[in-house]
Amino acid sequence: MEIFKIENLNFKYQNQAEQSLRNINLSIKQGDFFVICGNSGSGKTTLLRSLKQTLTPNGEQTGTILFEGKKLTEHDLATQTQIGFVMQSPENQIVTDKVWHELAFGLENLGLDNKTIRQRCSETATFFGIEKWYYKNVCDLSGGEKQLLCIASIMAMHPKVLILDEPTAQLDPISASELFSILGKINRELGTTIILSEHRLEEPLALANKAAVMKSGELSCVGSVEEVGEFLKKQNDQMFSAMPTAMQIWGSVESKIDCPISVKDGREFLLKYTKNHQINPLIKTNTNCVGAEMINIKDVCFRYEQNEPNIIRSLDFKAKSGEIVCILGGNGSGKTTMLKLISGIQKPQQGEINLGGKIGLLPQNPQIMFLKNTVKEDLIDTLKQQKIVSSEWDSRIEKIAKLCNIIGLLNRNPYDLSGGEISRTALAKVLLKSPDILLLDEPTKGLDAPFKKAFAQILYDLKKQGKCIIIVSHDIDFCANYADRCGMFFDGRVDTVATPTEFFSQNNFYTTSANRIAREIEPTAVTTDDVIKLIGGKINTPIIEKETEFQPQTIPQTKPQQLKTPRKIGAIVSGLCAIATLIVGAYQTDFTKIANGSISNTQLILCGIFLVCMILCGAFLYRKQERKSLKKEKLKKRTVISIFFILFLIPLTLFISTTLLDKKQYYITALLVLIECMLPFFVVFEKRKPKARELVLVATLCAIAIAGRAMFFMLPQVKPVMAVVIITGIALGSEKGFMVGAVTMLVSNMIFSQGPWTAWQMFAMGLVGFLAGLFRNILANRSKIIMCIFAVISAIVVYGGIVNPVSVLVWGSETLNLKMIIACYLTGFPLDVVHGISTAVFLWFGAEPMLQKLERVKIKYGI
Amino acid sequence: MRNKDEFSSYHPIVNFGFFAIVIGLTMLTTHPLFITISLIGSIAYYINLNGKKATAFMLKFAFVLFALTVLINPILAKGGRTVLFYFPWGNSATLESVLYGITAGGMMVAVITWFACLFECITSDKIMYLFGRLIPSLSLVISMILRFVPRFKSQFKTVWDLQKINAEAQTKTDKIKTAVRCFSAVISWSLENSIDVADSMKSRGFGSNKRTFYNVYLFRDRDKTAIIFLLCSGFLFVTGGISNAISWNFYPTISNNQNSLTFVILTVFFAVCIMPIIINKKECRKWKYSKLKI
Repeated sequence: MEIFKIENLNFKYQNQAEQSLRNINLSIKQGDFFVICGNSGSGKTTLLRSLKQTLTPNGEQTGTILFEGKKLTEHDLATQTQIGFVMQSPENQIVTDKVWHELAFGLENLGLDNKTIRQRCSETATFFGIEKWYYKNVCDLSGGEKQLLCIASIMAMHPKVLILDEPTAQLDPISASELFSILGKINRELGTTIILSEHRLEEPLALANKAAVMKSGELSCVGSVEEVGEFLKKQNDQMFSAMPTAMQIWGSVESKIDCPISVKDGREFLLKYTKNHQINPLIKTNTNCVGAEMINIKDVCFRYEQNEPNIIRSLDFKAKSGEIVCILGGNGSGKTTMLKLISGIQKPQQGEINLGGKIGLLPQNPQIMFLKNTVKEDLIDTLKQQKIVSSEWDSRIEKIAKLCNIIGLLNRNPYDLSGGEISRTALAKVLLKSPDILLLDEPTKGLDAPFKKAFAQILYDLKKQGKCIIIVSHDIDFCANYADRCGMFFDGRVDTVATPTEFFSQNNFYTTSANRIAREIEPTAVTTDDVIKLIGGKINTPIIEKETEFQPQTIPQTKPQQLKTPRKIGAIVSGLCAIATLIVGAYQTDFTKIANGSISNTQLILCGIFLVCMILCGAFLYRKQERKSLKKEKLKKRTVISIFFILFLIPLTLFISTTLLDKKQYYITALLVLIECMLPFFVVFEKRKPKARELVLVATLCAIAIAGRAMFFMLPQVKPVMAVVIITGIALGSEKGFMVGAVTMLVSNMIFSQGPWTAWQMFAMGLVGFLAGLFRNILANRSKIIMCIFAVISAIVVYGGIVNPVSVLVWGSETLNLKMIIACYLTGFPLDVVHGISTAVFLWFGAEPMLQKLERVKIKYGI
Repeated sequence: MRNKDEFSSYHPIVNFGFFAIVIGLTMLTTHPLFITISLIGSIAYYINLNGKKATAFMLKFAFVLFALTVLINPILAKGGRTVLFYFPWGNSATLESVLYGITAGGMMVAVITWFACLFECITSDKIMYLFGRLIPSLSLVISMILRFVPRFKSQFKTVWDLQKINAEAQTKTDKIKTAVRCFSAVISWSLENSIDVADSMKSRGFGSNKRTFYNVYLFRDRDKTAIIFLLCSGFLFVTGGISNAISWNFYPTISNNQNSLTFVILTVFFAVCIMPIIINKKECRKWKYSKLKI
C-alpha cells in the first residue's frame, strides 16, 4: 500500500524568485526504506518538510500530497503525529530537561492517560536501550544519545512513517553507524516506513530498498539503489562523488557487473574486474615537507581536575609550516583538549609547548562565532578588534573573501547560511586575524561532498602560503585525501604520525572504505581516487563555482540630529543634579539619624529630587527619530480585565486581612496581594493556550537572563537579568515582558535556591518588564540614554522598592512601622544603585543589537 | 532518579505538605519555643542533607541577617515597658524589643534554612508535577528553561574560550567588553536555534489535543501514612492557632497564655520537624543491618 503519494508538487519560498521544488512525482510504499540523495540546497529539506504539514515552510505550494490515500491537509492534527519527523540537530529538538519527560512529551500532547504513557515509555525505552539513562538530565547525554532520544520519543507515538532530515550530520561516525543500525531495526522489525536524506550515504544506502536523487529542486531519478547507480553513471553526474566508495569505483570503469553498494560487494567487484583487466601501478610522490617548525609539544600532561586521571599523557608532537596534519581518534579521547592546549585556552600541568606563530582556531560549531547581522559587518568587527585602520578593511576582506569563496555571502545573515557556507565564512573570520597556525576542530561535520572538496581546496591554498594546519577529525576519508601526515590519538597521546598511505595501509579496522575494498590487490591504495587510478578509471572531479566579483560597500551611517543648546544645558544640569542628590543621599544614609525620626523626611525628599532630575534629564534628551515606530500594542480586553482585577482585588484583600485576620500578619497579607497581582497575567497566559513558538521564545529569553546571571561571574553585582527583561518588554510588549521577568526570577530562585523573597522578586521583575512594555514606544526610540535612565529608575524604585522591605515584613510583624521599612529600604539602596547602573551599562552596549536580533526572530517566527 | 535522601523519595505531595506546615507555622508564630524547635529542626535537616561544611557556610550568611535583625529592632521599634538603657539620641532600648529582635532573627534564619532544604528536596520536576495541572503552559516553559540554561552556559564557555586565544593580558574593562560580546553571541545563537525547538514541539503534536501530565511518582502506603500524620498535625496547629495557644506577646510586656495544649502542640511540632531525619536514619539503619546479615 502506498503511504505517501506526491503528484506534481511545486513549491516556491515567499521571497524567492525560483521554485525550490519543481514537478515532484513520487510514491512511497509502506515499509520502504527510502533514501533521498542530493547536494546541499537541492531541495531535500523542503521536500521532506512538505510531507509534514506543521513543518511546511511559508510559501506557495501546488500539487497534492496524499497520506494513506487522503490529502495531507484533510488529516487532523492528531493523525498527523503518525508522521514522525527528526531534524538535523539533536540539541535543538529536545524540549524538556529530563529524559523520561522527553519520551512522554509527545504522548502528553496526544492526551493519553498516565498508565498508557507509562507503558509506551517503558516499551520504547527497552527497545532503544535507554533504560540506563531514563532518569538522567538531558544535558548529561552525548550527541549520539540525544539523537537516539529524539528518535525514541517520536517512535513512542507509534508513527507509521519516520522522516529523517540528515539525522547524523552532527554526529561522529561511530554514533552515526549505531543510529543507522537502529533505523534498520525499526524498519525491519516494526515495519515502519523510513524516509531519509543524508550526506553520508555508505551506510543508509546499504539499508535502503529505494533511493532518489534530487537536483536543483527536481527529482532526477527514482528507483532501487542499483538503478540509481546505473543512472548516475550514465549521466556522469556530479552527485556521484557523494555515493558509496564501492559505487564510485564501479562507476569509473565500464563493466557488465552489477552495481556494488557495500564494502563487501565492492571487494567482490574489484576482484572480478581485475581478473580480466590490467592493474596500473600506483606511483606516489612523497612530498617531504621542509618548513620551519611551528608547533613543538614536549612531554605534555594535562587533566581538568586534580583528582581525575590525565587526559593527555606525555604527549609529544611536532608540526611544520606548509603542511596539513590530521589527528584522528575516538570520541572523548582528548583530541579537542589537545587543540585547547595548543591554542592556550588551557595550560598544561607538565611539559612545554613551543609555538612558531599566531594561532587561529575554528571551533566545532562555527555558528557561535558570529554576532552581527551580516557576514560583512562581522568581518569588519573582527578587524576593528585588531585595531586595523578602516581604509584597509575593504582590501583585507576582499582578499580573504576571494580565498574562502564567500564573496556572494557577504551581505547575508550568518544564521541564514548553510553548513558548508558557514564553515567557509568562519574560516574567513579566523583568517582575518592572519594566524600562522590554523587549528580546525571537525571542519567537515555536516558538509556534503562538493563542499568538502571546496573546503579542501581552500586549505591547499593556505598550505601553499606556508600556514601550518592541524585538523582534528573523525572523517577518515577526508584525512586520507588531503592530509600530509595523519596521526592517531589514543590513550592521551599521538603515537604514529605518518603519511596517509603509510598510516592507513597499516591499519586494518581504522581505515578508509577504499582501502578496505582494495587492500588485497594493492594495500597502499588509500583513497577512492587511488583505487580508480589503480584500475584505470576516470576520476570524477566536481567543478567548484567561484564568484569573483567584489563590490566594496560602505555601510551608511546615520548620525542622530544634534540637540539644541538649551536642551543640552538642561540635560547636563538635571543630570548633574541627579548625581549630586545621589551622593548627598548616600552620604546621609546613617541609621542613627534615621532613628531620630527627623531625617527620614529629608531622605524621602532627596529620593524625590533624584527621580525628578532623572526624568527631566530623560525628557531633555528625548528626541524623535526617523524610525518606524513599533506597532502600538492595543490594550487588549484581557489586559484591561486583568488591570481591573488587580485594582479590585487588592483593596479587598487588605480589607479582609485588616478586619478578619490578625492585622499583625503583614507578610501573609502582602504575599496574598502580590499573588493576586501576578495571578491575572498567569491566568491570561494559560487561557490563551500559547503557541509552541511563543512558549519557546519566552523560555529562551528567560534562560538567557538566568544563564547571564551565571555568565558574569567575574562581576558579582553586575547581572544582565534586568537588562534582558527590559529589552523583552520593549520588543515583545508588556505581557511577555511581565512573564519573562516573573518566570526568570522564579526559576533562578529554583536553581540558586533562595528563601522567602521569591514572590517579591518575581513580582518586581515582572513589573519592570511590564512597564518597559507600556513605555515601549518611548523607550525603543533608540536613544540609549532614555533606556538607561529607565533602567536606573526601575532598579532603584521598582525593584528595590518592592524587594528590600521583605525581610522587615517577615520579622517585623509586631513592630512594623514606616521607619523600619525606610531603614530597610535604605540599607539596600547602595546595592540598588549598583544594580541600576550596571543594568544601564548593559543596555547602553547591548540594547540595540539585542533588539535587532529579537526583531529578526519575530519576523522569522511570524509573531 | 537520584534523590537527595530518603525523605525526598517520598511522594512530592508529602514533601510539599511537610514544608508548607513547617514554614507556615514558623512564619506565623512568635512563640520563642516554637522558633527554637523550628531552628534546631531546620539546621539538623540541613546538616543531614548537605553535611557540616556546607551548613557552616550557609549559617555564616544567615548569621549576618540574624545580627542585623537583632540590632535594628531595638533601635527602631518603640514599645515595651522595661527600659534597659537610652540611646544617645534619646530613644529607649527595651528588654521586650531586644527579646523580640532575637526571636525574629531566629525565625528569619529558620525560614531561610527551611527554604534551602525545600529546594534541595523538592526539585524542579517535583514542582512541575505539583503545579503542572494548574499552570500547564508555564510548567512546560519552566522545563524548557531548565533544559536551556546549562546549554547556554556551556555555549558561553566555548565563545569565552575562543576569545582568549591570542589575547594579551586584559584589563578589567576589556574583560567586561569581551563578556558582553560573548553574551551577545550566545543570545543570537540561542534565539536562532529556538525555532527548531518550536518545530520539534509542533511535529510531536503540541496543541493538537488537551495535554495530559505524565509523572513518574508512585503513591505508596508510606506516603499515605505520612500524609495522614501531616494532616492531623496541621489540624492540631490550626486549632491551637485559633485558641491562641501558640501565641506569645512581647509588647507592652512579655505575656503568654500557655496551657496544656501548648505543650501538646509543641511536642507534635517537634515530631514534625524531625520527621525527615527520623526517616533517613531509619533507612540508614536498615541498610546497616542488611549488610551485617550478609
